[in-house]
Amino acid sequence: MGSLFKKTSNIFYGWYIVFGLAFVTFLDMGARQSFGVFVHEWELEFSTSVSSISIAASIGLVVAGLAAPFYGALIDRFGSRVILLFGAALTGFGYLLLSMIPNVFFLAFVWGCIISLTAGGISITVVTVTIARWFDKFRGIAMSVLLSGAALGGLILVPFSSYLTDIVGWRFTVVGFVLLYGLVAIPIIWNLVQNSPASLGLVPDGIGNKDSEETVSRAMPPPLEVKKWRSALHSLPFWQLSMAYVVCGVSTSIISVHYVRWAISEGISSTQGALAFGVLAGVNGAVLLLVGWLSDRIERRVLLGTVYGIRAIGFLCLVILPPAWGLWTFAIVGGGSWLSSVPLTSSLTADIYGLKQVGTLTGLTNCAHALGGGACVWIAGTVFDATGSYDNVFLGVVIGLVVAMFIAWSVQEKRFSGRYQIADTELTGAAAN
Amino acid sequence: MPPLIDYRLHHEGPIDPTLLSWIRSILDQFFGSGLIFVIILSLLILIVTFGIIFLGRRAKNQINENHSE
Repeated sequence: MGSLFKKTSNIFYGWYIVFGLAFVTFLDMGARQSFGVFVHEWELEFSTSVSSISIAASIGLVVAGLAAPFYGALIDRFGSRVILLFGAALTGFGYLLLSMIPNVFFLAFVWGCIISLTAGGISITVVTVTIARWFDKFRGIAMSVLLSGAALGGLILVPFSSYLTDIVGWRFTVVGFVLLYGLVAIPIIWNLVQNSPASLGLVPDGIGNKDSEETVSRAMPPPLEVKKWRSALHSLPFWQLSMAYVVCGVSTSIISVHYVRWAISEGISSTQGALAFGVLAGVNGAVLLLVGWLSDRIERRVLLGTVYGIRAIGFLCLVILPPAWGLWTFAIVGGGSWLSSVPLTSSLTADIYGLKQVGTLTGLTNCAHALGGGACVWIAGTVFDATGSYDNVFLGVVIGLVVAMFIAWSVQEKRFSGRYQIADTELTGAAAN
Repeated sequence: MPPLIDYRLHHEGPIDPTLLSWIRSILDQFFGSGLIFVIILSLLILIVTFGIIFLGRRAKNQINENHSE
């Protein structure tokens, strides 16, 4: 036992925060995605229609997307620890209110406004920015580990919610979420999360010390580092990353909603379609970690463009291959590129614009991702209803992804990223010696 | 309301209702009513929580001790 504890002291403290927040994200995503489990229960208890319940979900999606930049700005101002604590506490309180709602109007208010707004405090924007401040050299793999929690949350906790609803009803299941936030999320954040390595006298990645030459060189700010987030709007990389990220939101949102339905429209059984979606989710988790590891070793823009390119091939397979082949090809090819763009885009934003305003900038790109995706899901459905086929939708996504691929590749990472300023500094130093 | 907005409602993320029912049908074979699944997962969540907090606090204390030395 003694040797075990000795070993833990050799692990950089940032990794405890990564695993802690991955677990919190796992629980949070699981709770949010359990919404679908309760729909039938609400229909029966409130004697309402699915359409009425849809309004709550739609409001929630818009509110969550719009709130992202504001939470980003709050982290930049107050640090992520306090935002995460308030976010977890208020979201838990929101679920407590949800367990007591008497009708569908309160559902729209509590879910659409309160929970969707407060959950922004423990959203992907906030946790990725927290990790961005703790890691520099290993930022990519750290973010990938963090996001793997989000990927697993729905797959494991939604069946949990489904069983619990069968056993104790939806109200007590929601009370169970309150306990998860109160007894799991808040204690983890309270005990582990610190705003930055400096608050514990450490440096990012835990490599070197505050006064070493290596640390000083690694602390070189990127050329485009901004003190005010608006300054980033006048630079090209922000728009390159944001435009590509909108296409990312469009492609992932469309497939998350329409994949199984496409399979059914092509005569594939819903069970097989859903199984393929499960394979997609599994491949996604494995490749996410691989991409994170690779992104710490090669240029992130290259990987990001490649991820979009591979995803374009996946969509093209859905159009040109026989349906059964297209289904499984996409499950593997598309799954390999599913969430991988998130750690790459977040890392590049931090690399290029520095850490001072990274919260606001990440929030803005996430907002564009969410709203762009939401709008195009609706457009894709409308096109399908009008034409009876997804071919035009998927071809449109292929074109968008190819454009996003070239946009990502065109980011001048070596010129603007802090990672490569370090290398230049070291090279200059080496040449002088 | 467009029908696919209704469809979207059932997702709220990447969990499709058909996928969920498929996962349930597999889990049902092992856990029956699901009570055991709920109990096991609840215990795992608590154990992981205590584990993460315990190890994290220990690491933080060691860092503080190292600084004080």
